[in-house]
Amino acid sequence: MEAVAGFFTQFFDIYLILPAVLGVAWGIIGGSMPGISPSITMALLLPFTYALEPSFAIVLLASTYVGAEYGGSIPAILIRTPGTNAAAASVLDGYEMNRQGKAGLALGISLYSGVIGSLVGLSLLVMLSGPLAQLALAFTPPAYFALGVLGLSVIVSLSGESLVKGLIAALFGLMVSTIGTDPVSGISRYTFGLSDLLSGIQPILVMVGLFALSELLRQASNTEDTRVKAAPRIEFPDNKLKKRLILPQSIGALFGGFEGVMPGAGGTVASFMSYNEARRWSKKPDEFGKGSPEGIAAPETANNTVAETSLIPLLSFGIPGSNSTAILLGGFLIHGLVPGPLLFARSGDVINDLYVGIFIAAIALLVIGIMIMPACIWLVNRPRPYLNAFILALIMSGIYSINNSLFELSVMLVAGVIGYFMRLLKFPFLPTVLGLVLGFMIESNFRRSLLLSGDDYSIFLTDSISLILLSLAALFIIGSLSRRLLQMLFRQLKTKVTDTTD
Amino acid sequence: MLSRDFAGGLAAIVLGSLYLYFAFQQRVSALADTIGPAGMPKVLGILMIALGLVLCLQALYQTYRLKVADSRQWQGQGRKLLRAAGLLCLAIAYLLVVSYLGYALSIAILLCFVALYLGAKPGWQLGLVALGGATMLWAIFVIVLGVQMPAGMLFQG
Repeated sequence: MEAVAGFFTQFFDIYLILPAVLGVAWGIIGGSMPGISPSITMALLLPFTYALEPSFAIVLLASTYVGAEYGGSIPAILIRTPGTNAAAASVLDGYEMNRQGKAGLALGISLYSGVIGSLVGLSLLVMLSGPLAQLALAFTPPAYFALGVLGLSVIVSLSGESLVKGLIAALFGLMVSTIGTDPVSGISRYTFGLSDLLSGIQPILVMVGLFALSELLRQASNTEDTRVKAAPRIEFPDNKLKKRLILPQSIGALFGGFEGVMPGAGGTVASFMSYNEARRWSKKPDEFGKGSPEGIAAPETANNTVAETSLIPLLSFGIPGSNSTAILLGGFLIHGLVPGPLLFARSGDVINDLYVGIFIAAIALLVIGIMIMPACIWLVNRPRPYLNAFILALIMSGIYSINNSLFELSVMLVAGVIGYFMRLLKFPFLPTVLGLVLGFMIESNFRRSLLLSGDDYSIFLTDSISLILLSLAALFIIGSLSRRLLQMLFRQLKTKVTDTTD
Repeated sequence: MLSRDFAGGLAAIVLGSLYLYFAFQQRVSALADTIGPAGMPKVLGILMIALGLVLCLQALYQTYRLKVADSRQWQGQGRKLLRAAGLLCLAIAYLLVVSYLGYALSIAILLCFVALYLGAKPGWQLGLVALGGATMLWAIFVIVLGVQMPAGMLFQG
């Protein structure tokens, strides 16, 4: 009873309502702009969070993620250009419905399914992250080292087409993490006499540079300008249609729940898998691709579920499994909060506020989603040069405001240039961010463990938690490598069969 | 023609070599642990060079297997690179002048020049966006968030 009363007190707390509403609105606007992913939308907001209270800042960022996942479907339905990667599956039937004059209903289904996905994802988040974090309370330095290794093992599945490129990107992140004062001896490394580098490179500078600035540099030569012609009003499905949508929404929630917890999988995989399964289980599979409401409901439920379930590995173990959760991790670190078991013990109030904030955000999504539609269409129709100039000015101002440092602004510019070349040479970003964030944890705990054991390396195997985590990392690597190998063999076999048939 | 993978591999080798060179130059304290401050950097440097080599070899193998290097993957990249470099120069220029001109004026100039560079037409609309945008950003950062943005030396006398 006390818990329920506490929940309602928090539910009506203006300091949670405000960031949730603002975050959802900003997220929808950012997500609705093609080329601006949820992670970029969050990265743009990150510098502002410095001046805010921790709970306010974290709820603001998490709500932005919730809003951006829905926002991505707006241009997907209206101009056949997904605002986010995860919304790509919604293009298939969403745009077809738009062509049939049902854009309002398509947007309504997307919004309605998004809210359901968010609520299912939140329930899973509340149920799973606490118990998992409790387990991690007994962690020792070897266990923390093993946890870092487990986090890095995710790279195998995050590397996209080339595992070698993913590993190089991760090594680069680890290298950047060694800049500054050595965690054990206190000696400076790679500072080249610059006192500004003594405290190391802040992850936020690298994240904003890699994700946001590099995208602006890439778009500098892009003159493409797509406009929304119609201005539809959102129309929610009637009861008959709602009944029809239950199955695809359940499929979306199932895949979103599973893929969100698995680091590296993300909303895009969940959307396409749920779309495929929804078609397989549908009574009207022929309608898919021709404007089926189920074809919007399944992927939209899936990617909105992922927005919450992807927070489970982040909150429980401090491992970000996607670009967006990496930015959220940056938000936690800015306020001196380190996600993982100790966060639940030391800052349980922030976690509670986050849960309530996400709940408010899910509900607010319904109202804001309808209200903000004209503003989104107006923004999508703004000339690109003005939009991008404003985004650059926002980034430059935001990064300076963190520590009033022009040096940090130049570090962000360097990160942006590196990000541009990483995009050009097709290196993934997330392994770099993981390496940067986990590098300190891995190195300091590895060396502390050896100091504790008198240079006995078996400490990593005699510590039971460390042994379990290292075994899990090994299993994860073997599993991901086997999957890659099977996919490669399957592709080769397919090519051979095609050649023979020809 | 070098493939993107080969260029990436080469970059990794150069970066790894430089990083490793400085790792070997690292000062070590007498109180340091057995791994020491240079231990992890040395491992990272060696791994980076090795993976760079693997990527180069993979790229060469693919070029050899496909018989022809796909030159289309670099098509138009020179122009794109120059456009990106131009935008970067504008950002660097802002960095250099903001301490002298102050935040409000510098950000208005940045907005104006970046929009022009990205294809906006000169006119009253551009001026309005630059002034309006700068005023809005100044209000958010200075008034709402209370951030001390550079006041500039130009107007301080």
